[in-house]
Amino acid sequence: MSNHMYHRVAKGIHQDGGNNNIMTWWKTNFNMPVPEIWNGNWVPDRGPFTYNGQATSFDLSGLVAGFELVVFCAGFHWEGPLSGTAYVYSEWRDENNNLLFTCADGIPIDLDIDSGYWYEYMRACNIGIAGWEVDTSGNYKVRSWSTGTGAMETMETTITFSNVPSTSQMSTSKRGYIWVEGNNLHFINNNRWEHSITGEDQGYVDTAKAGYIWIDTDNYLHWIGNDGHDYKGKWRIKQFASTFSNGPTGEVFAGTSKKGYIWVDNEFGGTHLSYIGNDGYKYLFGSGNYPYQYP
Amino acid sequence: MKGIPVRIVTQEEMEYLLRKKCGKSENIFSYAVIGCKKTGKVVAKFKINNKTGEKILIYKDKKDKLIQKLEQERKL
Repeated sequence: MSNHMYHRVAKGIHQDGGNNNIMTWWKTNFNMPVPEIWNGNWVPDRGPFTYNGQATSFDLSGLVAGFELVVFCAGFHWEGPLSGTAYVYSEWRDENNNLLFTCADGIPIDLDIDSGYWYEYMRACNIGIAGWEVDTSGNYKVRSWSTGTGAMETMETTITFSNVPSTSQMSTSKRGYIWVEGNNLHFINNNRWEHSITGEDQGYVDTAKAGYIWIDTDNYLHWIGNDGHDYKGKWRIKQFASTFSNGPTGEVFAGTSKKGYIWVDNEFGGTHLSYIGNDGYKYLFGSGNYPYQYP
Repeated sequence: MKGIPVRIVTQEEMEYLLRKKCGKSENIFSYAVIGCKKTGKVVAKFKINNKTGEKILIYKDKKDKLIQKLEQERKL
């Protein structure tokens, strides 16, 4: 086997072995924090993950702007004997072959491999529905290459997205609006898209209380729907530091005196709600799916 | 319907409150491994700083010949 690369594009991944942590991007809010997923059983030409929903064509019917789609994992494989420094690159390109964004931009990799050994490196990055990412149906591309020691020519894989929804944004004056519509909780997120959250029906309370919003002692958000039922948020994430991209660090303890505070957040990609829970910590919540389950 | 009533606040208000408690961004790492063709086993595992390329050894198979050689040469 000679030096080569491999591409995997999937809705989600989970660590193979180790802690078996799951991370799903498909239909989740932008940039939800990623748990530790790398330190699993590494297999050549696959890396440390099991890929969930791996494909090269994705139908976006039913999704809306502000949802993540897939992750692109670029693997680089070198065979010994080899010594020196390689520089790795990977990127996403749109349907017109314009650069969308760079994932790896010449990351230096020191190689010191004897005969009978191989060396692998992997870089991963996700993409979602937005005017600056996927905004038109068509054939997108993921690309990777390396320079320096053990240089490898560009590898390109076509990724097709169909039924891409509109990514048009509302005016800035609407940002932060939140209301109950029908039995769903609606809000205008930081990126100015209206999102609708369906809750779990907890039973009838009182139609006169329609529109009430509160947080329970387990840190879940509730609201009273138009039918007078209590609806509970399906998930919430106590904020933690992502292991995937630079962002806020760690848990954020605002203090129990601030419990009940709720706002449209501009962190982690800005498509979710944040609130201070009963325990005084910051929680993330949104209309997307819970990211730590299979897609 | 017992619970905490919400109070809608602005991003700016919360940003001020939380930034005071929130540190700067972490350095983010990707991973690399060395594997042995004969045994199929990973003999060393590294975290690599995505910005600087700094390589941090997080696992090594001390019985493996390549690892012993790299240790002798002070490359690990």
